[in-house]
Amino acid sequence: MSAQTHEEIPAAPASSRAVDKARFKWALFSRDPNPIWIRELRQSARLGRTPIILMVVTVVMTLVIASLGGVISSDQSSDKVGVVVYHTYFSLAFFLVTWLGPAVAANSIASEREGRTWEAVLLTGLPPTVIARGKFLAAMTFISTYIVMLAPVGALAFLFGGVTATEVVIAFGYLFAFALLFVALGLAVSSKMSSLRASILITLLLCVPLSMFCFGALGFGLVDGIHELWRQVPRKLPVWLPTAYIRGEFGAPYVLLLIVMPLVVLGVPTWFLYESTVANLRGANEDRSTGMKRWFIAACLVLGGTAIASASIVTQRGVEPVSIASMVLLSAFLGFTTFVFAGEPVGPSRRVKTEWQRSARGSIARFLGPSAVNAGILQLVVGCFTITAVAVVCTAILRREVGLGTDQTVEGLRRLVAYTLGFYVFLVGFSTWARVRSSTPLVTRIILVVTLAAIAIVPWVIAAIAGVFAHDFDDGALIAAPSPIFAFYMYDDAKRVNEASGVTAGMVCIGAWTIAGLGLLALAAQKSRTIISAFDESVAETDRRLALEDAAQEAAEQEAREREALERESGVEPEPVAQREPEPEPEPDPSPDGAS
Amino acid sequence: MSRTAIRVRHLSHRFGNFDVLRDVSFEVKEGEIFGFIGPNGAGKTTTIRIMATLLEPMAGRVEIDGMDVTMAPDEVRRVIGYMPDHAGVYDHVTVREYLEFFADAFRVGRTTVVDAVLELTDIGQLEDRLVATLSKGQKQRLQLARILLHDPKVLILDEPASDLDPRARIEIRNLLTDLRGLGKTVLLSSHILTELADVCTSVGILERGHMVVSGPIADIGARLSMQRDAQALGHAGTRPSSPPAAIQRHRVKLRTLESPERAAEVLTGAPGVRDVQVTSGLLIVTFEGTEAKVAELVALLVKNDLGVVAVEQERSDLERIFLEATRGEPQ
Repeated sequence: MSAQTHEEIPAAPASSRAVDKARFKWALFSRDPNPIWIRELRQSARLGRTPIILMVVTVVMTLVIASLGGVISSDQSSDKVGVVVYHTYFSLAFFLVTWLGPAVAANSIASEREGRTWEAVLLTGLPPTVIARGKFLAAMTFISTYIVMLAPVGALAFLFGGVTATEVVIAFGYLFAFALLFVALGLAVSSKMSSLRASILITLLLCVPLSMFCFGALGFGLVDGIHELWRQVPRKLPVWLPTAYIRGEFGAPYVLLLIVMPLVVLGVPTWFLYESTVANLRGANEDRSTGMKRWFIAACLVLGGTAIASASIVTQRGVEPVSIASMVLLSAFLGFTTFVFAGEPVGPSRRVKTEWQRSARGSIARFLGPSAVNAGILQLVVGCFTITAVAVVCTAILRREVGLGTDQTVEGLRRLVAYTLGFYVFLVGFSTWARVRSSTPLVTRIILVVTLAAIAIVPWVIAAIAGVFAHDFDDGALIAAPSPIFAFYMYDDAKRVNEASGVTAGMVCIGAWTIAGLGLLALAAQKSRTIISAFDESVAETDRRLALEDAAQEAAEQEAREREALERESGVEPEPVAQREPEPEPEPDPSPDGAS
Repeated sequence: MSRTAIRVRHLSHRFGNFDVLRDVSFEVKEGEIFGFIGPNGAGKTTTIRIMATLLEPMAGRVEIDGMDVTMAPDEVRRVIGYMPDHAGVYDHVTVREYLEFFADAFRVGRTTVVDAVLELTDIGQLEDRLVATLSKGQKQRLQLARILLHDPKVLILDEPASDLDPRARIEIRNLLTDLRGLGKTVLLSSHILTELADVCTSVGILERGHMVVSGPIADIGARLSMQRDAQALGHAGTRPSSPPAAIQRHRVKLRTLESPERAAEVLTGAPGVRDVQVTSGLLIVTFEGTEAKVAELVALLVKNDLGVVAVEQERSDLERIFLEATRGEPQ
């Protein structure tokens, strides 16, 4: 029975039928909902400020939209007023949701830590996934209240005309979808912070520019291109996405742009933020890695698949830019994940190993568990496979579609991919090596940022200082070959009639980066083995000493019992036996998870 | 022989380059109230947080109810109730809602449990009040109610009586005694030694990350007394490192109806009595043996027509132990 809802909880589904299972899940959800969610709702319901803020926001929004409608309707037709109201309302609502939602979420976990209630929740044994979902549901419920309160104002646009009811409904759906992403971001920040103010500040510092970028890039940035594709979608108006569902022609671009892309753009980062939150809620010696590695594999496959699909459906002229854009975005994603995995522990903790043994985890599950070297290997295998697969398909499409200059374009793409792969191998190897050598993830990440910035920029600066660009750009480019930016020079170079010698330097650098990356990964593996074996030995030594102590104590107790029995038989009052002095313990050794 | 509820063995921990705990070892038997004493910064809270599975020790082992806190934290969490120092509460829920939330979080599964802990901690009459409106003492009782919801075997309380008024302290103390009566093992840290002396069956004194001494109060007192005697003879160490002595020395205050001087004469030289002093009409008797000896002394006085109106175990034992066991160096 749930104490909060006072409802009986069903023990199991009535049968193994899908319908009964679904009914059972619904019964669980309705009768025994997430306890964190219910408690947060009860608390929010008692806050006096909540209805006041809701009322003020609704009144202000209504006044803005009504004023705007009034002003425009004096010289515009009704349907045009409807369109303007629609775009204004949903633009304002977008910013409300993307600023307020994460701010509320940022408040949730950090406020528990600051209010010193967090440990009490943690010790109840609630899994971090349940806590994260409860907090997420609470923040989503809160922001949903705002959306629902404002819904009648948004419906005004439909009354004026110019937009359909379906477009309004889809736009509300997107508000909820963006709320999911931004609430997840606020929650992820909150899960890392112990100060409420810092949590809200950092969340807003991230969310304000990010929401503006989303609005600018996805709204104004894409609308003209979409208008070219589907003429029914109006130009220069930011909230084009909901209207495109009605006005676009169904086909491959429709599926890719309106179904696949939104799912990928919103789903992949939301999943990542959820896994980050769960990982942050776990203890340092718990398994924080498996979820993140699962996400990485899935994200690589999804992004690779989307890149291939994009290249497959674009027009002849679009294949090359789409291929290059896909490669750049994939590289940026893989570079980002290198930083994410720079926080991996050197090896699994004793707690994780015990859990593996208890649940009889297989080799794949253990591979996905905490381990810096395994994370490096995973990144190399999955990352390189994704880049190669995308490159191979794009090359094949290029060869099929493009006529003049195909060979040069394909060659350029090959060089770009080769440099990307070589440098990625180095980046993964270096980050793994830096992780096993440094004491904390923060140090690893700082080393990684500094090294990456130095490698990317310094060669170009040296070339510029030496003044070689002034004489011959290609000579200058030779000096800059170690920089990953040189990949673009190599790509461009393939299209020239007279190829410059920079290609050779680039190829040498590709080989050097690859060898260095693999070498560093091997060194990291060796160091990791040494650390883990030293830790295991220290644990075994401690166990041995404690076992010896136990044996000694047991022997002393046995001896005392025997002597007592003997003295009792001889009629002498027994004397208590002194407890043995314990042996000293060796100095603490570093644990493989890097916690020490 | 009672089982060991808490077993801390060679526990060491470090924050940065600072050794917070150095080879700390002690045991708490089932049903005991163990007082964890130490100056600020001695490492009490770190030890307690390790016991509560919130911190992993760098070396050593901590077992609660026979389970390793590092290897089986989930199982340990099911048998402990931990009340942190200055723990917070959710202000905008009622007392009942607060407990209902934790009952669900603990997966207790029965709503009657909430009623039971409300009654046990004597806050049933506050169940519909908002937590924000409770006094500090009431909030502490609520915290105690929270940690009792899943019926833990071991209660770990970090400074439970800090910031409380005298009445609330007495109430908490009585509640702890009641909980001991229910078979719970209680480990509590406090700075207020007299308060611990009243409820604790054994204590551990931590100083600069070292466990200076631990065990039943009477044993430690006797051990220190032996230490003192040995030091007087010039062949003892500076610390009470030896195990509990065979002979336990205690001090008791007696008030008689008639002349205390005559009572002192009667007791002086009696078997086991080491010292008798008369101060402000009170007899302060130092003796060796168990509590049965007190009954013998009372009987002896009564036999000599001296009516005994009050018997009080000397309360300052723990303070004396603390002062003798610790060096009082800055932490």
